[in-house]
Amino acid sequence: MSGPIDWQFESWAAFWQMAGHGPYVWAAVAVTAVVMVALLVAPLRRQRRLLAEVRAEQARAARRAAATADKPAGGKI
Amino acid sequence: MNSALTRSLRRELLLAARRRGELANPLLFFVMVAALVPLGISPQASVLAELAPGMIWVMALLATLLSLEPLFAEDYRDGTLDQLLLAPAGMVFVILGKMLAHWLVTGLPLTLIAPLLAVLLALPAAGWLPLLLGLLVGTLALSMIGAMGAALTVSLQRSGVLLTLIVMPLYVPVIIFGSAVVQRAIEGFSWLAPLALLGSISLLALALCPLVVVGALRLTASD
Amino acid sequence: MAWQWFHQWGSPRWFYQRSGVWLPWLGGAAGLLLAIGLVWGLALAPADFKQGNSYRIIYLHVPASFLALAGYYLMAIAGAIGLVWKIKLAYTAMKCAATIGAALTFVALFTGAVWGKPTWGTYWVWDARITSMLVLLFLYFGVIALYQAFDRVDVANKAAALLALVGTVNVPIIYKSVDWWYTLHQPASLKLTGESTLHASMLQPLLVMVVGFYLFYAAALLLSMRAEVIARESGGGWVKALAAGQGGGQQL
Repeated sequence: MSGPIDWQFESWAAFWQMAGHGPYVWAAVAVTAVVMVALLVAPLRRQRRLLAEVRAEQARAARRAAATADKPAGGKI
Repeated sequence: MNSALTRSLRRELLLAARRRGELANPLLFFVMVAALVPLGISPQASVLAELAPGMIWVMALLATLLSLEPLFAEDYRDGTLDQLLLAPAGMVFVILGKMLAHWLVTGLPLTLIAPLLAVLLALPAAGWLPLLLGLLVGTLALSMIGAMGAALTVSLQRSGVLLTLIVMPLYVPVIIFGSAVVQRAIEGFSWLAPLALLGSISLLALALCPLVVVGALRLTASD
Repeated sequence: MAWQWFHQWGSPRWFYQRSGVWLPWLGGAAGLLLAIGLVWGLALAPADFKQGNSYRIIYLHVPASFLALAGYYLMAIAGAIGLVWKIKLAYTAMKCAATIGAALTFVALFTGAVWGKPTWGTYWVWDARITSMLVLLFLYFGVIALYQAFDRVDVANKAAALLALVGTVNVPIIYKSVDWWYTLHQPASLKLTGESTLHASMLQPLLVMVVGFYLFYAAALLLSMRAEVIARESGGGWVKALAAGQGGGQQL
């Protein structure tokens, strides 16, 4: 049962080795995957950090508001 | 309109004539790097001859790059540029005048001393005329394309390396056709095709670059 | 006033909400196609008659090269839209496209290099396509460096957009000239192994990968733009307003 679409490798070991070309193919796959994942993860992390900063700023503002409300005569922050 | 061009050209050349020392710097650079090539690689004529077409072109490119930074920077610092940008008519021609003046005081002299480098680097005689013609045509494109980089970076402090970085990839076709003109001549082939291509690049640059430069100066200089 | 506020900030906010709806679909489709294409290309497609298994790198190299070039044009068109219609979101797209494009150009170069070793016996060959890719990477670096050199975002946007546009005029000239140069200098030892026509059974997974890469690019661009939009608007815009409700910053 062999056609144009068929498993080309007898075993996993053969798949990893690719008849000697494995290191090249897998290096290309690995670097491409790392770059592509980084392109997705970096903006997600950045967005989370930015939103955390906004929240922290809001919390500070809220604390300050609370402090001025408690001590209207200019208490410590 | 034409009077704007000639007036601008005359003004720039007059200014250039007043600081001749500065003008000589790119030329000195050109010659000094040429002297380093045999020291760094080999003084053997056959080796040098092989490298000469490409080396001379690369050095002409670097010399042009070094001369670009002050192209608009001085007028930017003393406010002349703002005045120019306010004047509605003929702005492109004034800028074109500056760019042509840059070519006249860098590209043209580089072309004229190229035979000296051809001797120093043992360029075969068949390559001399093509080298001269190629540089004559090609350095015009180098000045025009480089002026775009100078205009984009005019408002930045220490724009030198950045300017080089953004302009150099745009120089790739010029250097390919420029050195090909010389190489083909040395190898005994017809060199008119690359020269014609180089010429068309220069003409295209002459037509389009001044418009981009004006646009670039409008956005960067007015901030 | 309210209308003005909407007009000023509405567009990025709209974008943020809309893109949030599109992203799961885009990301899911991209992931699915990339997974199918990768398994198909690496394990199911027949090995190349001449190159053996090393040709399988084509399933990464070609799509990355396509997007490196298409991404440059997308970046320039976004910059042009920004310059003409003064749309901030277009500049955001331009900036994000520059980073993603440079990364994919690097991928194209790297995969080309590791493909070159088993095929030509050396990692780097001054082949026409690889050389053009390298110049394209330099063009990307130029745009990114120019953008970062300016303190003021509006000037950086316009200057980078103009440089990107100049680059688009140059890209075809550079490609043609490098091609011409390569025909002059092509070493005799380099046979055009890459030119052998791909059999349909090899081409089909390639098409799947190309479409997958395009969808991935769209998803990555949207993600990057969302983060950028939040960064630009975190100071006084809808990001803060949405989170803080009303009357947050009066004590400031």
